[in-house]
Formats: sequence, structure tokens, C-alpha cells
Amino acid sequence: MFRFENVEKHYVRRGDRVTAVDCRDLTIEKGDYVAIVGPSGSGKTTLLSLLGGMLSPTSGKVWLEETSIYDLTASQRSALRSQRMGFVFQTFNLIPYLTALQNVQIPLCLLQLDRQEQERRAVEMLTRFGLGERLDHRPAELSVGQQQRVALSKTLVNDPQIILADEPTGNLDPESRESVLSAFDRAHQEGRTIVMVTHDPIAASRASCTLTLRQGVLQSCETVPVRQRQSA
Amino acid sequence: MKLASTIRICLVGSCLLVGSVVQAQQPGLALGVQSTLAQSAQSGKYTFIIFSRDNSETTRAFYQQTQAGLAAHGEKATITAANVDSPVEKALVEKLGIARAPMPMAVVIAPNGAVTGLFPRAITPEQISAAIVPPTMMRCMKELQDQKLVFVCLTRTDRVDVPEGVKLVQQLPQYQGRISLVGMRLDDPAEARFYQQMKVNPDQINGPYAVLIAPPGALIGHFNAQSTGDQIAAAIHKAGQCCEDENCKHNHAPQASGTRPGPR
Amino acid sequence: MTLKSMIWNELRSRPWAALSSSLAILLGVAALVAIRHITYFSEKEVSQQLAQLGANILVLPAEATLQDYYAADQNGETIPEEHVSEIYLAGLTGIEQVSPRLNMPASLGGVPVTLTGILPQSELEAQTSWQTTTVFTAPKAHEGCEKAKLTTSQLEGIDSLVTHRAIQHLKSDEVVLGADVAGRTAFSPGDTVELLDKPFKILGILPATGTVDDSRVFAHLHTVQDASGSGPVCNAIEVIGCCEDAAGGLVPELRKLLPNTKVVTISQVVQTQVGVNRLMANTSWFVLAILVIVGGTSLAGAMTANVRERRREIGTLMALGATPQFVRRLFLGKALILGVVAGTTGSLIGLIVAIVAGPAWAGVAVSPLIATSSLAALAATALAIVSAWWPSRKAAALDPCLCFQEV
Repeated sequence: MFRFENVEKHYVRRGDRVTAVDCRDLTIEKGDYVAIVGPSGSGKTTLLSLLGGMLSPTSGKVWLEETSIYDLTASQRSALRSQRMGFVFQTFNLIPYLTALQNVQIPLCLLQLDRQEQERRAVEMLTRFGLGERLDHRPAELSVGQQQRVALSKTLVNDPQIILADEPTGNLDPESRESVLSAFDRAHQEGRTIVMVTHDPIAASRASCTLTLRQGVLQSCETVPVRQRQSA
Repeated sequence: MKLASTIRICLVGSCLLVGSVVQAQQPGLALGVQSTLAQSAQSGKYTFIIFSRDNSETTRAFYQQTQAGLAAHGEKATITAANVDSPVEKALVEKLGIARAPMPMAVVIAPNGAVTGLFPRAITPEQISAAIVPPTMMRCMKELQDQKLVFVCLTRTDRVDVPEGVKLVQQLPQYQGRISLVGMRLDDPAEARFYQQMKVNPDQINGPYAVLIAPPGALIGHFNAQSTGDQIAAAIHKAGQCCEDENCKHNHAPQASGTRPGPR
Repeated sequence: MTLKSMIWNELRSRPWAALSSSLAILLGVAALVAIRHITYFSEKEVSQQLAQLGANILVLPAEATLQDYYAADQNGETIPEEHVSEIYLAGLTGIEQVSPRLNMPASLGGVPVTLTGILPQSELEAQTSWQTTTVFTAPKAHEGCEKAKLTTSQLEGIDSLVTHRAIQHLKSDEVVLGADVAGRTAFSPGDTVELLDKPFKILGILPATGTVDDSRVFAHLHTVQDASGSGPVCNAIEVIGCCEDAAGGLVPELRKLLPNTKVVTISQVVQTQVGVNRLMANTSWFVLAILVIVGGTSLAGAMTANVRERRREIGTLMALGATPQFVRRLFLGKALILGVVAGTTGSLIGLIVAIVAGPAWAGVAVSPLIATSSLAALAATALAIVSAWWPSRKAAALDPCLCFQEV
């Protein structure tokens, strides 16, 4: 599904050139469940941004199937994300002045679905995550676990083929973490491609493939057989 | 010393004489002014009436001044005096509208009853001469003071040719009884002053010709044989309009004010 | 969820922030609308006075002060009535009408009134005919206005007191009531009333003028002179020229003729008001400039701050698929709503202030000028959008990776 072709990403800071990512050759197949691990500052988030069409490489191309992402315009990349990707953020990134229902409707609004369809799908998703009675609550009125489930609902409501997750379990207690990882498992079983940046070894162990990054360079790629993956 | 006393006595005497003349016109002699006016009308004389409220020094001096100025006009004019508050002169005072006018005042009345001069407090020989007007001017002034429209028809003979347009206007219903025709001889030197004031050049006149003057003395226009009744009626109408059109502004620029023009 | 509802929800979540960011625009619009309204109606009032009275000249006692044209004769000082004759005798050109007035306090039906003595024009016809004399016999050639006096029909009827400031006929035992006096005393035309211990017949009642004339009772000048024992005097003489230009030329002539009087025109009376109007008009431009600079800068600053504090939100929206245009519309839409609300509210406040303050400060009644108010609201909206233009562009150009930054 994803293919890096001589991709490099450099920054220049105070006259020094800093290599954020240097991945000459990386392939993520459709339906893969990939965990990207590495120390802090190793380029994990940069790699995720490159995959998400949000950060153009200094050189090289990033292919999503037959499409070179960074040969599209900014608007086309936005449309691509809207139609095919879902994001999970470490801090949930819910909009504070919107209710849970309204937050989940945002991806559907960006897809330009009509109001009734938006509401139907959002309600269905929130109900599936056990938040049927919290539709009109703002994020500040929800617990951390509830916020996380709203964030997951928002990620999955537009039925994305690709889920990009940045430290999805970083702020969660074990129970909430398990709930997120179970959701990822289900999504993976449904055939979605999941790329997850994580420090959490337990989260990483749930992936089918682990990519290790050090100083922006891909060090290793381990593939774990399905029956060896840890689950709840 | 003796000469000075003599002069003083003469002065006093003449004052008393004048005073007595003025006194002679006081209420005691009823119909004094009216009878003088009647006599003047018969004899074709201009009457200079000195109106006053009292027999003060100012009044006497004014009378003398007028009398002295009339000396140059011989038999053309006569002088009389009247008290403006006298019941006997009330009708005349009201007709002349001088009950509240500054006094003393000289009012000049032509033989035909036209008021040809009004001079409060002081009078000059030039003013006296100006008040004795040419015959046609006298007739015009009378008609204008009676609020008539006056057509002065100019001629070189005894026959007065009235332009056709003027005749037509005379018959218009809105002008019935409001138009007067006055004939004037262009070759009469006595009329020179009048036709100069009417801006007439006698040499340029051939055939019927009339000058229209409207109350109180506005020169409306000159009309010849080619002028139609409609043109003349339009000129009358235009003369009575308010001042949107340029004709209503002053003739001379220095008299125009700096204020912006506009409708009244 | 729509773009509009996103904007609306954001505004509702922090209403005071929204209000404060557009307060400068709101206040600027209010001030501008108020000033423009008062200026417009004040200029209209002056213009009407000039149109009605532009050819009018007042001859007043030298000590008289003048604030209001219509009350000019209520100055308490007197000048001789013979000045009227002097004016006619001077042979000045362009004089159409001369009207002396004398006032004294009186009581009608128990109601205190101002008894104003006027001279009917029928008693000045002789003086009018003096113009013929002076026109023809003045030693210098006649110059100037050649308007003919063809009719006096415009002075028939008592309403001519209002329209032409004079009346053709008025007997010594007749009176005309101002509108307010008639209203307070409930008299009607034809009634006989007791005034100055004498019977008078009410000739008619004037229509309301909105001036001091509404509280006057008009009688014959000589009747009032006799009743007041003042003799042949008057408080003012109104001279009406045949046109404004004629009036302008008459002023220096009258000053020369009557050196012991004060000769003024309506232009001089309204001069102060004209000056104030000019000042207000200039002030309104100044207020507009302040509105644009301060209001625009204030809103631009508020929007920039808003973009800064919503960076993560913008990054998240972009990550979810929001285009740069969507983000730009998000902020411009907010500015549009703020501009419309500030403009409309400011216009309403300005209008209310003008309606209340107009009569109190400028002595004019103010009614809504829809075009002015609408234009002010539109201008405020446009200003708000222009102010938000750069911040919205900055927002649209933000890096979507902001969504990954930690708080």
C-alpha cells in the first residue's frame, strides 16, 4: 500500500543539517499492522507525517498504491486523507467547543455528507463505543477514557482504509489502553492498514510488524506471526 | 455793529414770515392743500407739499430750502405746507402713506396726481429738478402708481400707431382693465430724458413701436410690429416670476452678493 | 455539522471574547451613524431655513442679539417705525416686501401669549408705489433687479403669514392665532375674544410651523403700539428681497441707510450652525478613520491571537481532510458574523443616540436614514473581513503536523 522511494527528510537548524528520516526503501502492504518504535527524536512522528501526506520529503517519493502523494496539490492530499485515512492522536485532539457528537461528525462534514447521514453514522459509532448517553457532552465533561473513545469514533466514522496512530496509548491506563488496542485489532481484522507510532512495548507487540528507527534510519523490521501476537 | 444788528433783525423777520406762511397752511385754513392741488392741476403746475409735525426750526429750514430750489423753475411749480397729523389732511396723508414717514418731508405731486418726488429731511436742487418730470413720464408714473401695465407707444407724428401684438394683449381676459397706452413723440426734446431711461434709440425706430413698463417701474421690453401677442404675454409673465432665471439677478456684478443663488 | 455551525459554536463558546474583539468596530459604527444622522438633519434644517428665508433680511435694534431667526423680534429693544418709510424712500432695488413687528405680552382666555403687531401689506401699498417715484426720478440711472410687481394674490389668506411672513389685510380689531395658542385656548375662526380689555375677532388660525410663531397672536401693529403705549416703534423690520442675490446686495445698502440698527440675514443667523455642521461632518470622517484603524487593527489582532490559540485544532482539521480553503473560510466566516453583528448593533445604537440627542443637542428631530445605517453596517462587515484576511491566510498556511505536537 505504502512505498517509500529514496525518501529523505532533512531540516536545517542554525546552519546545521539534521536528518529527520532517511528511508530509502520501505514498503507497507495493504492490511499490515505496523508498529514504529524507537527512542525519542528518532523520527517516528516525521515518518508518520510523511505517510499521512502532511510533510513533503526533501527528496524521494512516497507512493500510496499508484499515487505519488507529494505530486498532488495540498487540497488533493487533504481529500485523500479525508477519504482514506483516519488519525489517532496521543492527546485525542478533540475540539473543545464541540460536543462528542459534533466532534465525530467533523470527518463526515469534510466528506460533504448531508446532515442526516452525518448524524446517523456518528450516533452509530458513538453508541458502538458505549457513548450513546454522552452525545451532547463536551470533551471537558468526559473522562479520559471517554475522550479516547470519542477520538476513536472520530477516527473510524469515515471508514478509513488506513489508520495512522501517534502514541495512541501514551496517556491511558491499562484498561483504556486495552480498549484501544482491541479496537485496532478489530480494525486490522477488517482489513484496514494500521501504522502506529509507539513507545509502548505492549502496544508494539500487538502489531504484525515492528519498524525500529534510530536517528531517522530504519534499523530493522521484524515480522511477528499472528499466533504470537499478544492480546487481551 | 449796526450792520450785525440789522442782519439779525432781517433774519428774525424772515423766519417770522416763513413761519407765518407755514402757519397759514395750518388746520385753521381747511382744504388748503386740496385746493392748492386743484389749482395746480388746472394750471399744469407741480405742487411741492412740505409735510411736518411741528413748526420747528428744522421744518422752517426745510421749507426755505425747497422754496429756494423752486426759484429756478418759475411757473412750473408751487409750494405749500401741511401738518401730517392734521385731521383735515388725513385723507391725503393716508393716500400718500406718509403718516409714519420721517418728517419734515417734501412730497411732489404732478398736475395729473402722480407722486413724482418724496424727499425726507433734506432736498437738493437736483432732486427738485428730477421731480419735475417730462409729460409722458408723468403720465406713465400715474398709471404705474395705479398698478397698470403701461405701453409707451413711440411716434414721430401726432398719430400713435399701436403694434398689433399690443392690441391683442389688451384683449386678453387676464389683462382687461390693467393696460394703459401712452403715446410719446420721439421728436419732443422734453421727452429726451424719458426715452433715454427707456433705452430707446429714436433713429432705429420705424413703424409701430412700444415699450412696456410694469409696476413699480420695471422695463419689460421693446416690441415692434413683428412682435406677437404671445411673445408680449410671455414677457409679462416672465417679468413677474421669481428668480430662477438669470433675468432676475442684478444687472451689475458688484451688486451681486457672495451668497449662493437659490429659489426664494 | 457544517462550516457555519462550527463557526457559530466557536463564537458561542466564548461570547465575551467575540464581543471584545469587535467592540471597537461597534462603537466606531455607533459614533459614525449618530454623527451622520444629526449632521444630515441639521444641514437639512439649515438648508430649509435658507431656502425659505434666504432672501430675508432683518433690521433690528443695535443692541439686539440673535439666536433664532423666528424669534428675532423678541429682543425687547425698539427702532422707529419710520425706518419702514426710509427703506422705501431710499429707492433700493430688489425689495419685495417690508414688514415691521412689535411684541408685547398679553393674555388670551387666561393663557399668556405673545401679542405681535404686524402691518398688513394693504397699508403699505402707497409706500410700494413710492418705488415708482424713486425708479423714475432718482438722478442716477436705475440699476438692478427688474422684477415686476404684478399681483399680491400670494398674500391673500392668513396662511401667507407663514408662507410669506406677511398678510394683505388685517383690521385694527382682528387677530390671527398661532397653532399652539388656538390649541390651548380652543378658540375658532370667527370667535370674538377679549384681549387688552377690548373685543377682537379671530380672523383665522395659522397652521403649525414648529417655530415660536405657533405661540403668537398677531394683531395690527398700530393696535399693539397703542396698547403698549410705545409710540410709533417696532422690535424688528423684516425686509424680503426678490431673490437671494438681491438680498445680499441690500444688506450693505441698508446698513448705510440705517446706521443705528443691526442688519442681519438668515445666513448670519445660521452661520454658527453651519460651522457646527461642518465640524460634525469633518468629525465623522475622523471617526471613520479611527474606526478603520482602531477597529480594524483590534479585530486583526484578535483574529491573529485566535489563529495562534487554535493551531492544534487547525492542524487536526487538516489532518482529517480540511483543505486550506476550508480553514480560511472558517476564520473569514467568523469575521463576517462579527462584522455583521457589530455593524448592525452599532448602527442601532447610533440611531437611538441620534434620535435622543438630536433634539437635545442640535435642536433637530432625527428620523432613521436607512441608507446611512445600512451603509455603516456594510462598511463594518467589509472592514471585519479585510481585517481577518491576513490571519485567515496564515491559518490556511499552517503545517498540518501541528496536530502531532504536544500541548
